[in-house]
Parts: sequence; C-alpha cells; structure tokens
Amino acid sequence: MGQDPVCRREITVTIDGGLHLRPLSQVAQLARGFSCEVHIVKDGQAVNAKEVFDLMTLNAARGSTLVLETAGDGASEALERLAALFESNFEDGTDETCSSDEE
Amino acid sequence: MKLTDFVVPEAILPELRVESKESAIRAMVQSLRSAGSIPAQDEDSIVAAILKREELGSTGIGKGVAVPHTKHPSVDRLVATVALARGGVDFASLDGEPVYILFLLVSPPERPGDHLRGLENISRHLRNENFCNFLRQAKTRDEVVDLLQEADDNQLD
Repeated sequence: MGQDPVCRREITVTIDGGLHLRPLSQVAQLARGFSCEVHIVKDGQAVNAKEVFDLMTLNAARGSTLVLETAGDGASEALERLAALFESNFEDGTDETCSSDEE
Repeated sequence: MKLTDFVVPEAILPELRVESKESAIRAMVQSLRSAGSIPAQDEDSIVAAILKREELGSTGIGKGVAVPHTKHPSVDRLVATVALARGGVDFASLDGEPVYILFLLVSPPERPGDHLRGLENISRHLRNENFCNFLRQAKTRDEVVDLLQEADDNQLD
C-alpha cells in the first residue's frame, strides 16, 4: 500500500477556451476514482485534482504547461488515464461547445 | 482581475427565494438586465444558453456554491452577479447538496481568458471559509459589495 513511486508527466492544455469548468469536472471525476493522490502543478503551484474548487484556481488557458502528478496506489494507471483525458481534448462523447451564438 | 471588476453591484440579489435552478438562473439574468449589463433583447437567449450549459453538467461545484455561466456575443466584457439563497436551491450539484451562494457569469466568446480568470477569482476567494461564511450571512446588497471589496483587498484571511 502506498509504495508506488511518484509519477509525473508534463502536458500542454490544447482544449479550446482552456481548462474551463466542464473539463475540470471531468478531471476531478476521474481523479476521485483513484485512491492515490492526484495533483496538477502550474507555475510551481500544486492543486488537488480531486477538488473542482482547487482545480478552478489553476486558470490554465490554452497553451499552458501543466505537470500531472500522482502518488500512491494505482499512481501509474491514474497518470495514464489523466494524460489520455487531456490528449483526447476531453472529448468523452458529450457536446463540446458551451457557447450560444443564437442569431 | 478582482471580484469587483466584474460583479455588477446593482445586479446582486442578497435574498433570492426560488424553487428551482431554472428560476434562480432566470432571476439572476433578469437582474443583470435591470442593471443594464446585458441588453433586454438578449435576456431570453442568455437564460437559454446558461440552461443548455447546465445540461452538460451542473455548475454546482460543491460547498453550497454554483457558478452558472455562458459565453454570449451580447457582452463585450465579463459581467457577473451574485445571489444568496438562504433556503438553498437544488442545483443537482456535484456533491448532491443544495446551493446557497451563486455567481452567474456571462463572458464574450472571443475572450476565454477572462472567463477562466473570473472562475479562478471566485474559487480562490470561496476557498476562504471566512468569505463563504460572511457571504452566507450578508443580508443586503451593500453588505455583499463590502465583502467582495474586502476579499479583493485580502482583508478576510
């Protein structure tokens, strides 16, 4: 228990509009499925990826560089799943847009 | 960016009494319209856009807080209002709890950074328990404005 090493991976935010609430909710939901610690680091500041409130403080615009960091049980799987979520640009089958340009 | 940069004081609703999420959103958008922050002819379309966004996943982010929002071309800068619902509103929140503090944001589509900075600002201050508790106790628009100002000035730590 808890013997896994710390796993880290640097990623770039590529989602349109940056990490707004919907992708952040997806991150928190995924992170909560793991018992290991999951953090996201931006500019040297780490936030708990299981808490949407904390994630919202990232202010990660498109193009930002973040470090995904997991530690503990299942850390490497958590890192892979989280990185895959970022790489998929958070396309989990739900409608991408939340804009509303109704003419 | 500070809370007082984008929260419209005249649109704050310190005593929101509503039965549903939709009524809460409608009342807050109406208040922004009455304050002159969004055009009257776009009120319905903004409400519809915010409700559509809620269908993608609730913006009830836990701890009794919701941040309903949308991008909309009718605004040229980020505008927001705050509502306090003493009785709580069922928002289908992530933690299943009712919400008591609502921040509603409307931002220009071409300025996603402003929206992110607004969310960052709100969440950073709401992580401060003093701010949350004082806000939930505020009874008038002036008290809410004072609290936003104190939070901006980091006087609540």
